[in-house]
Amino acid sequence: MSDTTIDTALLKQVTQLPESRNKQQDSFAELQNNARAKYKAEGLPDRTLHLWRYTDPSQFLYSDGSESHQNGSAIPANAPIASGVSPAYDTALEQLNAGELSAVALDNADVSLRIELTPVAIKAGLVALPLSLAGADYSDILKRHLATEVGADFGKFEALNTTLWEDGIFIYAPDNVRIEEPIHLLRRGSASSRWTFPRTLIVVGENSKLTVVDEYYSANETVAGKSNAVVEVFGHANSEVEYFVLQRNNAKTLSHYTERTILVGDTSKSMLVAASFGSKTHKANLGTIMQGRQTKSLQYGLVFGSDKQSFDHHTEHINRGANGYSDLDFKVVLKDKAHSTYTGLIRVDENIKNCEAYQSNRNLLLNRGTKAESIPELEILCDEVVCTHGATVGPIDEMQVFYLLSRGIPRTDAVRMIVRGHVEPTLKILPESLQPRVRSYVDERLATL
Amino acid sequence: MSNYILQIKDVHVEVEGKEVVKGVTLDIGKGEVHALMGKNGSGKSSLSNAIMGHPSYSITSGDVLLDGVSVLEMDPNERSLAGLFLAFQYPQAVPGVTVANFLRSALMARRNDDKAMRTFRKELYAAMDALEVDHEFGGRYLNDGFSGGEKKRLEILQLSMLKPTMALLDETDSGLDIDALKIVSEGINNYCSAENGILLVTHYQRILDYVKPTKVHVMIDGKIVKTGGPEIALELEKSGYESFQPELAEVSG
Ligand SMILES: Nc1ncnc2c1ncn2[C@@H]1O[C@H](COP(=O)(O)OP(=O)(O)O)[C@@H](O)[C@H]1O
Ligand SMILES: [Mg+2]
Repeated sequence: MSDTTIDTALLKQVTQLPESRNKQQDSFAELQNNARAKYKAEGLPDRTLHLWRYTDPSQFLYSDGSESHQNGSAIPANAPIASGVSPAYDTALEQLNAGELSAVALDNADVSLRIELTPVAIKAGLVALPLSLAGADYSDILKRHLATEVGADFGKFEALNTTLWEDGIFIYAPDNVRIEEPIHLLRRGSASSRWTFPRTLIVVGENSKLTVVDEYYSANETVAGKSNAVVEVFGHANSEVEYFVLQRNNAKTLSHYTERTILVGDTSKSMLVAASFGSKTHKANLGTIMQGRQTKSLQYGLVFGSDKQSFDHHTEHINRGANGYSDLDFKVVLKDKAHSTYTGLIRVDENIKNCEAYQSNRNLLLNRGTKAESIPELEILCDEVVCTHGATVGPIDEMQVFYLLSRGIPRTDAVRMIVRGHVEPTLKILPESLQPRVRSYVDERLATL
Repeated sequence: MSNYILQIKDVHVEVEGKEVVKGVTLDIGKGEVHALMGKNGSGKSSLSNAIMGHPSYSITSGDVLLDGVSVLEMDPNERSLAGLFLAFQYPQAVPGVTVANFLRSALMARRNDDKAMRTFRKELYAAMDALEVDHEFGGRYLNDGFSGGEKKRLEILQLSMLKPTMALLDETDSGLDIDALKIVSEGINNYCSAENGILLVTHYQRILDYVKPTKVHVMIDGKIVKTGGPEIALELEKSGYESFQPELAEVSG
């Protein structure tokens, strides 16, 4: 691995791309050519289906007119990022140095992709590399996972990402590698309003454990960014993976995001938490495919919309193995004129017995002018299943407000407490390295009630 | 300054367009414990809730004075800060809000001073110990999944921490086993002082063995039909509310 430098002083592994970050390996050429053909051949998604009823797909068409940045000429490589430029990165590095994180990646769209691991994580066997460098040692792993679930055939915009991803991040825990401290990926958008295509592959081997935080944010407050991201997570037998995605783009960004976790092996477990605060329009599609037997999947959602933001989230729990357990808790809070749509699919294939699948979506509307839709989609093709789903859309409970008022708490504080309480179960499960920051995003929105 | 801590003056209460309290007058002096007794549905909770400012119960006529000042124009939180407290018959669950955070906010609303909050933990634990409530309770979500007895204890815990001047205790005794009843009664007695007033709403006389009332009022169909000393409670116990019915006929006839 000639591209990996070992900083002996710190005994920390730092990987940077040597030239342009966009130089793809030839091994991806076939995959990408195939995806390009699919993207071009496929029409716009059918707007009569739930998935696209609420958001206009045409805005996600690739519109930059050229693919020149793909060729690597336009973007300087390895420009270092100064401290203060990205406070989230500074914080992450501090946490890394304190051993609270096991790796930090800065995927700085216009500049570089830089990944650092702690000596402890390296010793334990954690692999974190740019996708373009991973092929040298992990070509077999890539071949068996990359774009096998979310690739050319998944959908038009996923094919687009597969065609144009700008390098990407590969996180791999070989068998029996258990890493407790989170790996934090920072996806800083472009400072120009061009499309960016973040890509992530997470593979967790047998009996292994990983926790990944994947954070998307804008380069500044004014750029009208455009992002199309794809994430694939694979859990092999008896593995555990926790994946947290935080989207806090500026309010001008257009974002499209697709994630799939595939619980390949028996008794594998996953937890997926999606927290969406940013973007003008955010379209997210998250799902867990429970392929092995006796797998367990927990999904949590937290959306807090304000101003004229529009959110469109879709989740899936697909049961393809017997004795699976899945639960989903998707919380939405809207103020000002924000809109949210949530569609949640539970599918249990034929003859997949003894599954339990639960789903709950609760929407709090803080004022008139907000709008939330909640559509459960159940495709249960097997009788021997326990499945419940529930959805509520409505204003804050005045009885709760009255209870707090009756103890002297002013109305605005009471409302803030109740909203925080609404999202608390989700905040509580965030890794400690992330929790205070996400709480502050909730509080920021509650400050102007 | 009034000698009365609470004055209820010919109060009528409507809920869902129906009059359920039909002219109640009741004065509670400082240091007094009044028991308000009546069958289910007689309007006791409607009266209590209306006094606290519950949005579903409107006082259509009459007045309520706390320490000589009408509370009717006040928001519920202002009533609370003025010294009024209602221990609810059915305390509301607020998921995601911990007991400790809730109590801290309620005290902050009174003290408005971070320094004064430094002793909060100590105060909380002392109040919990007095009511034999596990400290672990502080981290639980407000009334969320609490048993009936736990809810009632939490109401009295709030009473002991917020130290109001006038406490309306709505069926605080119901759902308590005898041991819990003793503990909760002790909490109420600890709260009693020459400066405070209590309106103890109940339909059993059981709690009156532990919390001694100055006066007992009997409420039937939205009206107080009889007022007297503790002996009335015993009479009720013996012959039931029916024996008071004729007096109602007399009053209204
Ligand atoms: N929220 C409410 N909505 C509709 N009716 C109510 C409500 N609360 C009380 N009532 C009615 O008012 C009357 C008095 O009830 P309540 O005040 O609860 O009596 P008590 O506390 O003495 O048992 C009953 O007829 C009851 O059904
Ligand atoms: Mg009652």
